[in-house]
Amino acid sequence: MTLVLIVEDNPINRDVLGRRLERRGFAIRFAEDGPEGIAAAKALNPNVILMDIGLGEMDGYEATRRIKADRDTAKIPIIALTASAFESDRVKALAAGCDDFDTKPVDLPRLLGKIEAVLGHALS
Amino acid sequence: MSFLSRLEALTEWLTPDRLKTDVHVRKRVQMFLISHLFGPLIATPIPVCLAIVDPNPWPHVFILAASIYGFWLFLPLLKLFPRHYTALSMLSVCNLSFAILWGSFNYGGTSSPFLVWFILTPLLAFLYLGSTWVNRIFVLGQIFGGMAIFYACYRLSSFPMHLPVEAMVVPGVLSVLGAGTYTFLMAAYYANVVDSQSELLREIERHRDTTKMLIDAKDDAERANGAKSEFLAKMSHELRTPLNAVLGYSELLLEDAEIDGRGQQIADLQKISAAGKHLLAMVNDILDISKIEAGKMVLHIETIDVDELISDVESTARPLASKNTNAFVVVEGPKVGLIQADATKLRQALFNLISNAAKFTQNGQITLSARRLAEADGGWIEIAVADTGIGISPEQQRKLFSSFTQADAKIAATYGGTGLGLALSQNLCRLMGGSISVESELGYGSRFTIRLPTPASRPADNGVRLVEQGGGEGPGVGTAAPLLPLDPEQLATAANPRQRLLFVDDDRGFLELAERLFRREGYEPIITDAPQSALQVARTVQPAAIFLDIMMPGFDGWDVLAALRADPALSHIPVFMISILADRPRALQAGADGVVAKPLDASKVKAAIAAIKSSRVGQGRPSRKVG
Repeated sequence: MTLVLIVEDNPINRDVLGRRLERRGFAIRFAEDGPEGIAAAKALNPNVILMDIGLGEMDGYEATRRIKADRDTAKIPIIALTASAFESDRVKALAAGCDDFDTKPVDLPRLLGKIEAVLGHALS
Repeated sequence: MSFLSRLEALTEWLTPDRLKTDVHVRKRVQMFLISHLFGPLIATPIPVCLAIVDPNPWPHVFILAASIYGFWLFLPLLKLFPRHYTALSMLSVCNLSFAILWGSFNYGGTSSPFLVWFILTPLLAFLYLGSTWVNRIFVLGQIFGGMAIFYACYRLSSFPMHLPVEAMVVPGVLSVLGAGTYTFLMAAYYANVVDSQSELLREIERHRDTTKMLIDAKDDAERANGAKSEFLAKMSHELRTPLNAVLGYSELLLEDAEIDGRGQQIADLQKISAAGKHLLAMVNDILDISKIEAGKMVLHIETIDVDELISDVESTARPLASKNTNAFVVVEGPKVGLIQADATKLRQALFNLISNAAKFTQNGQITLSARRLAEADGGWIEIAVADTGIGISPEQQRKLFSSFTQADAKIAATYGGTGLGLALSQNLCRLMGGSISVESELGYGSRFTIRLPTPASRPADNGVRLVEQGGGEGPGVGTAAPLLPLDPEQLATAANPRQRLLFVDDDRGFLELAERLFRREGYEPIITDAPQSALQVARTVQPAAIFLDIMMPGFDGWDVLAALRADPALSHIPVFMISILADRPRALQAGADGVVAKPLDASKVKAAIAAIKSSRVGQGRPSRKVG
């Protein structure tokens, strides 16, 4: 089963995205902020991480940089999720080491397509 | 008045050219000339009177007269030796001191009525030469030196006393009157100069205040604009977060309801979901419009195959267009070929038009067609979306492309929509160098046409593309009312498409006027009132020349000019600043090719472009390659 780690500080966003993905057959784990996300990535070794950018003290860019800097977790694909839709955010996310970028509100078919792409295979 | 103007003409003629450049020197030279013209005249009664009264006038009266009329010699001397103005001035002051002291020595000594003239010497020295250190020392030196010599002469041979005191009354009165008149004349002239100078200073002060106010206003506008963009970006972020929940949960509930077969709930949830998506579309449109306004919209211009784009749009838009039981027809025609545009943005504009057509048409037909216009018309492609819907009245058409304006309030209530779609589509097409136009008749339907420039008519690759097309539709040289003197590049391409001129100005009235004027003259004018998008537009349309206004709110024509010059893809395009002639030096220095004044004169503009072209061809500057 594909394990998805959702790093998101907003409980409603966490809940709705987690439940939608569960229904599509994913196993879901949550982290509520950057440091927790980094620890969870190391402990759980998920197949993919969905990283909110507007996290509290440590933002998603920084969390991504640290996950990508750690040899144990560097290979885990990260998709940045942000409610902002400026070209510059996409560039910043990719510069921080994210493998892809998507905007909120989440368009599930679009996000599933991106997850498939970063996993490098079609989801069953 | 006529005497004064004649006097002015005379001093003007007497002033040497090299002393005319500095306005202060010029004023001093003018005082020097006036004083030398009138001084001897005013002093004339003195030697005349002395010659009559004194029984033995020879030689002292004649020496005095020679010294007085000697001042007239300074006029031709100055004309001949303008370089030695300072020396001549000092010499003149010394001559004056000599005349005064000579007259006083011979007639009355220290109680001579001629001695009053001596106080004039520092006045004149400062009027001629200004208050420099050298001049101050010179003035003091000649006062003390003059008096020292005067006293030394008295010690050597006491005062000659040619006339008794009673005989000195008439020449004495005349002398004081002369000195008074002379001082009056020079002081009046000087006061006049001071007045006009302080008026000038006041004027400068006023201009400084105005400039400061303008700069403050510009800064305020820029700050406000920045704050607005920031606010919109933040608002868009804040709106998207709750929308995420609305759309996400309604999808979850919709799935549950579908599994359980709860029909009424499904319908309700679909409405929530649709409303949420509508709200999201609105937020996205607002964000796009604010990006365009802030000049932050980034276009990805690439070469697009229009026929491929159309078939792609046809398949994706079919469900959208077929809403309201409409037939969706895509007209098959000759191949349209390639254009330079942003595929995503063009698709967005087309979807907007098709969605609008579908919204306002019931049981009718929506037609999508594309065609390439003849090269002679400037090399454009047109993509049209026509419908057989309710149509738009002429009054409504006028407001159609403004943000947040729907044709009328009732329509908004019946059909929904943000009122942003058309404004956004129009802005996107403008950024790509094109536009959207509308034709419509109430009750019969509407036709929206997107016009975009084709790369074929870009000067850089004119030849290549035309050869590829076989040149069949391009008319020969001269048939399409060629506008400029024959351009070798265009001769080489054996076709003469209309030349594009890009006008950037915040004044829409002016832009529309320019558009009409230059279209009539046979050009293809492209206008934009958004200076921030000027570079993008220029890159897309590659105009033959760009016309830039200088004062635009929150934006400066000079900045746009600098950006144009810094861009290697644009630096070869001639740029003219729309301004007053006084800005010409600055414009040339900043890299513009010239200045044109409002109101634009078509023939002058033509001549200016022609001059640039011929000079560039003449210099063989590799500005453009010939295909």
